[in-house]
Amino acid sequence: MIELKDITKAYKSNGVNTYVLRHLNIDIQPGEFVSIMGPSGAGKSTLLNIIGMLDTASEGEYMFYGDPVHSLNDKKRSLLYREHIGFVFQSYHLIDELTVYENLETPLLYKKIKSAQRKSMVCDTLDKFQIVGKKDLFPNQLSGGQQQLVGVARALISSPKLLLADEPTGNLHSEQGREIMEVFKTLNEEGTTIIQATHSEVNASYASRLIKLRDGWLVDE
Amino acid sequence: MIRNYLTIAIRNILRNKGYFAITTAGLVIGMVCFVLLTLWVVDEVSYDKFHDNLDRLAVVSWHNALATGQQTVAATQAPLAPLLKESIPGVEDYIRLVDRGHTLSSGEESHGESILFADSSILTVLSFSMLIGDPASALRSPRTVVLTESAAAKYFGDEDPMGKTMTLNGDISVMVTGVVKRIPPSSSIRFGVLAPFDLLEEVGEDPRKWAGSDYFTLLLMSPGISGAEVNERVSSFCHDFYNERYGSENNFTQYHTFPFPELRLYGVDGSSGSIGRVLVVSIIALCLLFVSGMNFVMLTTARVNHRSREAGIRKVMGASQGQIVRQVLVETTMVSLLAMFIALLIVELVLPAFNGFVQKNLQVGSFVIELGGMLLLWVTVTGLLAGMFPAVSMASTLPAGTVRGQHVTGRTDRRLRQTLVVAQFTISVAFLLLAALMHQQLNYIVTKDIGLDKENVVRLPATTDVEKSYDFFKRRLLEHPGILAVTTSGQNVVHINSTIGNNWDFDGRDPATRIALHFDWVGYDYDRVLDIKMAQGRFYSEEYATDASDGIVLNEEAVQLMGIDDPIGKRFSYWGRDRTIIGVVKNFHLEPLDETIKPLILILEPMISSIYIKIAPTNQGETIAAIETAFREVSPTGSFAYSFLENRFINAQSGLLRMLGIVDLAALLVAFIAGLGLFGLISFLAERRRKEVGIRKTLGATVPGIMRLFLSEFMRLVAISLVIGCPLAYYLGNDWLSTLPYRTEIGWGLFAATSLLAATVVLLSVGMQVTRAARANPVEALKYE
Repeated sequence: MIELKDITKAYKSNGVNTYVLRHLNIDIQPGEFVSIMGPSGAGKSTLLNIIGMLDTASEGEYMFYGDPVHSLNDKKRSLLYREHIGFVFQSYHLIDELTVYENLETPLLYKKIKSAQRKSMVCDTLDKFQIVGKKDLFPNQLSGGQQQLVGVARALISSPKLLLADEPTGNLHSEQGREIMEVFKTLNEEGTTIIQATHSEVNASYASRLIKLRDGWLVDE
Repeated sequence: MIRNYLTIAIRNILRNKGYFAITTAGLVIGMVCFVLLTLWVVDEVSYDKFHDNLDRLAVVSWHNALATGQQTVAATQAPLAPLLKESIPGVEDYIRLVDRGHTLSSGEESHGESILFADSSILTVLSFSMLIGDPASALRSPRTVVLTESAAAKYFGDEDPMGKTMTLNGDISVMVTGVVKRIPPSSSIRFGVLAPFDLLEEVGEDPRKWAGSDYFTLLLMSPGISGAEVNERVSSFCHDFYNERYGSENNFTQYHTFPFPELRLYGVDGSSGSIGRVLVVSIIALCLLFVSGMNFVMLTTARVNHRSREAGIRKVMGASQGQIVRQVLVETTMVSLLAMFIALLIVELVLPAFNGFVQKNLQVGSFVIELGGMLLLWVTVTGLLAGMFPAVSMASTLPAGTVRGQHVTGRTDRRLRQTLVVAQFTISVAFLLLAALMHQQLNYIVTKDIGLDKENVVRLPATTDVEKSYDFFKRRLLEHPGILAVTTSGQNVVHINSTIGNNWDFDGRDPATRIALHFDWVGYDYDRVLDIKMAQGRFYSEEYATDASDGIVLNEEAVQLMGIDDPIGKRFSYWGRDRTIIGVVKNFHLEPLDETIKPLILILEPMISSIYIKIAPTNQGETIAAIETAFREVSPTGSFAYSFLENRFINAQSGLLRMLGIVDLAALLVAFIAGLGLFGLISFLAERRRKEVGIRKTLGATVPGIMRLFLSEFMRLVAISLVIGCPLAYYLGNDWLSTLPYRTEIGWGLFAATSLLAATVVLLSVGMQVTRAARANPVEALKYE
């Protein structure tokens, strides 16, 4: 599903290249649940962003289902992205001006899904995550755990094949974090490929595979 | 999708009401002013457009080369027009027009009227529509009058005026042969009572003589012939005609024609029309629109960038670049559209007040499509511009950074904002300076010393009765202690616009000197009533019996221009009458707004059109009552219509004062919009830099220190604006002033005051906003992140 070949990411600052990722080679198969671990600054988020096509690598090749992501233009990349990827963030990143319902609906609008179908998809998702009662509330009216639940629901609404999560429980207390992880586990069992970046050994233990990064190097698998 | 955009836009507006209000208020004010001023300009340039024959109408102008300078007037001698029609192919018809004051009465109603004497062709060639009567024949016979609706109502009430007999000057009966519909406000030819040109003979004026030269002359050109061609023919015909008539080469007087539609805008000499005012107002309108639009772009740019995080999230949710751009544009255009509707609503509300202010009857009505179109275009442009920069920068960057809450476009965004602030402030500063300069100049004209004392002088139009028993009337008046002096004038004080032409002579005259000498018929005590000072000799006095038959008084300008040395006692003749110069008065202005001094002779002769009475400053009500009692004694039926001389000035200046009002108001609004913009921007930045302020405070920064941080950035921008704006204004202002004969100086005080004002606006805005941010508990600010 994902093939990373010799991926390097460097930022130029004051004429000096600062390396964030160095020569990574990673293959991920459909149905895997992968945890990326490592200390702060190891490059976890950057790797996730590159896989999630939110950022591009400085060097190397990235094949997604056989498509060369590194050489696609922005439009094709966003099509590919829209079709296959859902993203969950540490700080939820819901749109403050939209209600829960509207937040869930937005990705479907970008996929140009018809109104009636959109409605049923949003309702199904609300149901599945048991947040029907919250649908008309704004993000700031929800607790952190509830916001993250909406964030996950939004990422999954169009049934992506790949779910990327950047420290999904980082802002939550342990009970809420455990709930989110249970959701992830169920999703993975239903067939969604999940890649999460995390500090937490507990969270990492939910995964079927562990990738460890240190200073941009792949340390251990 | 669009609904989603709109939902977001509306919720954003509701969430940031204050910011939104500031952003749109400027835009709304700009558009309101633009619409109002555009209506004014459109009205001003569409004068006289209702005449069907407009393109075929030409005005005859008379040009004189005189020692006092070149002079071109839209007036000629009465016999010229018939001669032109007779002699020049292409001149199909003519209309001569002249205003004369006479008393018109019907039964009890008797009024002093300014009657327009005109050739009968006025009703057929021009397009004044008649309610009753036949345009072709109404003015055919000399003893007729045509009234406007309102004049007819004044004299006859609800009765049918047709065929009624009226009396002119008490002894000439004339018949009403028509009623003209209300004259359109856009007509430069205006009248209440229209009389046939031939009626002039009955009131003692002979239009067959080449004497008077104040007849406004319009020619109707044949279809197909060009105005230039007619001008050429008229000009060469008159040249030959004069040479033949005077038997010598004539180089000092010329006749020309020019298109009637241009009269209002350009005047006869190309510079005396309203085009200057039209240009100034147009520039003001555009400046206001531009400054407010730029303000909107600036504030929106700052605001939309704040939402780059949202754009990042949307990209993560699958939005394409195009969709992000579209969302931002929909939002900004929606806000500007909203501003447009608010503006149109406000225009409707303030139009009556504006009409009162500019003394016009402007209506949006027929221009709604054009205005709407223009505004829509502008709104779209500002909306798109406001959205463009942020939209493109937001859409083209990868979402990874923005999602983390970084402001990706920090540097370019800041540069853009600074450029906009500087551009807007530069225009505002230059605008303010020019407005202040115009204010100073107009004020200078309005308040300058005109050489006579206009205060506590009552003007009374003379009726025939008063004219007959003036000496008795004067004695009666002087019996009252509140009445200090009484005199008469044949023209009007500070409205002396007639000349005796070049018909003057004195011993030792240089025959090459040609001067159009202004004149007035005056009574004794003219100098005392108006407090006119003598430069040499004395004024007319009843103690010298010969004054009436032999004396003449000139002004200094006339003496100087004619080159009379030691004038007292010299012989001087005008119109062939031989006189002795008994006095020279100091110069005074002949018109309230005329900036130049004209040569003048004052002739002692009881040609009385008005009586001027100097009264004491106290108990004026009682004094006026005494004047009325004396007036009734000599003129029991005449209408007592006194006025204060001072008001003549106020009336004459009202056009200028209105202009001054527009300029002042516009300057105020530009300053307000610029201030509002800066205030909005600073409050927004202060909000955005809360965290920075919080961190600095935890590191030990003081409130004044934080103030300095913000001030330095904005003070620098304002300083740049001043450095560009001041020389720009100085250059433009000098350019304008150099075209004026009497002008004020551009003082450094003006620049200092403007700079101070700009600095104060910055100081206040920064002060108010930053103090709040700086005073806040830093923990609060930091907790948010």
